[in-house]
Amino acid sequence: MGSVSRYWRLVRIAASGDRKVEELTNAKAFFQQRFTRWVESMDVADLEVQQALLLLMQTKDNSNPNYRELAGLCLRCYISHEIEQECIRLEQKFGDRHGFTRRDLFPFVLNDEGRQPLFQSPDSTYRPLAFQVLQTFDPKQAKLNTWVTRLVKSCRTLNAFLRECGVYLESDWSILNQTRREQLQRILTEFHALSSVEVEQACQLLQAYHQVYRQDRLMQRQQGLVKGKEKCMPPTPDQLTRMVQLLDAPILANRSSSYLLSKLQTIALQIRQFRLAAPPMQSLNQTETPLDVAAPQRDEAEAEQQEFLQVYREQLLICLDEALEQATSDRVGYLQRKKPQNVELYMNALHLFHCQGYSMGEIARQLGMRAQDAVTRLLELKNFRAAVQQKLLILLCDRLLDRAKIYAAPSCLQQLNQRLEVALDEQIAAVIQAAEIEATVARNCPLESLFARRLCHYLDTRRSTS
Amino acid sequence: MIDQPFYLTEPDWDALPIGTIELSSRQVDLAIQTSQSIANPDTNSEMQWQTYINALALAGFKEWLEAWGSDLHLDETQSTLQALPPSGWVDAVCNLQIGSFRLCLVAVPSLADPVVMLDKAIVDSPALLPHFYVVVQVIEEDMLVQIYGYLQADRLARQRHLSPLRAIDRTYSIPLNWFTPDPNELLLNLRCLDVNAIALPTETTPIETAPTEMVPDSTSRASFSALTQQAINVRLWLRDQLDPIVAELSWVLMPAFTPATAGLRSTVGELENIAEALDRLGISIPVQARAAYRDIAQGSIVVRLYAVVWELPAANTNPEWVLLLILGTPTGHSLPIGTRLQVNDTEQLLVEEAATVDQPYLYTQIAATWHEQFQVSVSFNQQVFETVQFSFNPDTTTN
Repeated sequence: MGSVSRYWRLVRIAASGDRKVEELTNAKAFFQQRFTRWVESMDVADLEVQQALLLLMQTKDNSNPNYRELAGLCLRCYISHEIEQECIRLEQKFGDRHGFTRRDLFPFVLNDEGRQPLFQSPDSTYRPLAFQVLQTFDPKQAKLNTWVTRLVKSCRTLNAFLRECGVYLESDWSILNQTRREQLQRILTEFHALSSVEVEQACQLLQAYHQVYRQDRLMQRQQGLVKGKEKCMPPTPDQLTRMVQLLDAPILANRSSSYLLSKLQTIALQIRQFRLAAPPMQSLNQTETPLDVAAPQRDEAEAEQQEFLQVYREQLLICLDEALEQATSDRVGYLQRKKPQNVELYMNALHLFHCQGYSMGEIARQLGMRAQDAVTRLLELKNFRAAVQQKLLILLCDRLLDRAKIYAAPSCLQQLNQRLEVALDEQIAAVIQAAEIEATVARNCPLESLFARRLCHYLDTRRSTS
Repeated sequence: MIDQPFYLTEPDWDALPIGTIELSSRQVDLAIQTSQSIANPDTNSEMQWQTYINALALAGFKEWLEAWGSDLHLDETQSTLQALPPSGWVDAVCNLQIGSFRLCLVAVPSLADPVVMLDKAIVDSPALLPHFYVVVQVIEEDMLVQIYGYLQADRLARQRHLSPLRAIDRTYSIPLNWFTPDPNELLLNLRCLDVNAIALPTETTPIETAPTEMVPDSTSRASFSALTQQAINVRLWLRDQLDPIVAELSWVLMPAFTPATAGLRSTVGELENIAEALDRLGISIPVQARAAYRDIAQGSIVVRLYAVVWELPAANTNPEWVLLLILGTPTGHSLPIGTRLQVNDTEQLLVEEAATVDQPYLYTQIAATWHEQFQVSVSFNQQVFETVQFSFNPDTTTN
């Protein structure tokens, strides 16, 4: 349901890069003449309209040779609206965090200017996405808007761009490629409750797919035909033919390639449904549950233990500083080897976050990075804190145990060791946890946790000495 | 129209998780080369593909180590990607070495699947058994690798006793939630754990010594030893104290055992029946003895292992203790023919008893000096159900 004007108003990119809506007079005239009944109503049933237009598009009417073209043009207008909607949706979902707007996405997919004729263009010239939609659309398989979305999602250049922004979508063909026969068997039997006959057929199709597709993919990589992050494309007609040949008639009665293709797509869909329905896995970014911070056991009567605890507090600071230095150096060293241009960005981002309390988004703006996602990815704070935590534990244990030998009799040492580890671990975890909690709220003033203060101290020292 | 169930959603984009590793073209090329050298592409394309995926997993793992574990050195010279193991091709990267730990990488295409399928060989074969299994997600088309988490081998061994593994063809299905989903914890273990703390199923644990290394535990905030298969210290039993390990391993400590406590609980009664039978055979259990039992299940077979201990008066300078082991069934029925009870010390097999027709119990008695340690195995038709360590350590103070 929607405004009927979508069928003659084309959404396209203006010279400025913004979107503009252009009314196509020929399409409008055509539509209003052929479908007067719909023009009157405010809303139209898309399904009916599309069915009619498709029919016109497909029938060769010699008395009106350009009807096909005009019907196609009307559909192209509708399609442009759908493409725009998808771009808007992406912007809303990811744009802010990942640093792009719909304008960035338009050039990849909103590329129909309404000029090129649908039926006469040779294949070699540039073809808008809408053409591909209309050429492959089968109303028995899906609705038109679904089909548009699907083709937008499989657009290679759009995917490549989004991938650089930290957003990805695994293709059907990759999913099929990497799902094993036993997994598919399990998924179809247990999750989809298909009959054993259906399961067997699907597994055999998958196996044929694997045999052809995987081999080709490996060979393409070897020969450099596929380089780097290349999306798995739909199987070519040649590949489909080879797959069909591997399958016996009882398994695949309909020997057409397009039938096999649609069966494979169904399997991919079934695997996706399974993945989506699975209970969410514990995310790596989940913070640990808060712990009770146990104070190290004190026995007030023992002056020795008191003194020991004093030593502990001193050593905690000293070791924390060392741990921070080591962890930062490690990270810088790694970046130096892999992406030297990121080293300065990293140090600056670290400083801005902990010493000035900037949010990820503000850091991105300040440092000229694409989006907060890029900053988060660069800092990897959770892993950084874990690294500091482990180094601190090792350092502190070492130092304190050395000192403890002065205070404790050898027979008690083992016991002390164990108690020390547990107590230290909890103390250190508390330090790290405070940093973690603090990190979740941006505050535009230096962070106060012990972790942050000592890190800032280190970063400032490093700056002044370099 | 494609038939779409109500919960269907169309495939949609997702944000890359933080810390996802992006492989370089060079790493991918290397992976291709590895796949060609390991598997003959003409004879087995599936093997070649899986090897390729596994090689990508290894590349990602190495990259991750370089970023966050640069102090750890990975030795891949013995890995199953360098050379096929004698048992044949295996769908994992085994025999990776970091320090004294062996690791095995298992590649999965999606972390949304709650089941991980492990090649049987990496679970059953001693030559391939690692200390840690590591799950790694690989998305080939985007050259993405994500280190998900790890599973300690002794934990797997314990878990499978509680819920036997489901086998499909050459694989076992393992719930993904058995894995600890925190790679940083793995780093901690690789850095700080004492390798002797992970008892691999067919090895004997060396004599328990006071650890001089730090063994900090951050996985459960509980005593680290609870997670390992250390020896059960029967000394504590005699003081009516249950080793925390013992509770963890589901032993049940029975109340002070005297012939006079007949009828208190059925299990006690059962043990008393056994004791009477043993008495007739010349084995008498003194009043100060303590007993505990544990049920061991494997598939549809359930057996019950009783352990009864007591100290012998120190007549000479070498005080001794006695371990009496009784293997039976909870119901008192006969043991399955071929059930075996074995006792080893650190050097050799000491005792082996096998059940024949209509035998409700196997038993054996060992006398030992303090600090001696024994490994008791219960097996059925060559398959070891359970291995338990017992020791008598009088130095251990209790908290």
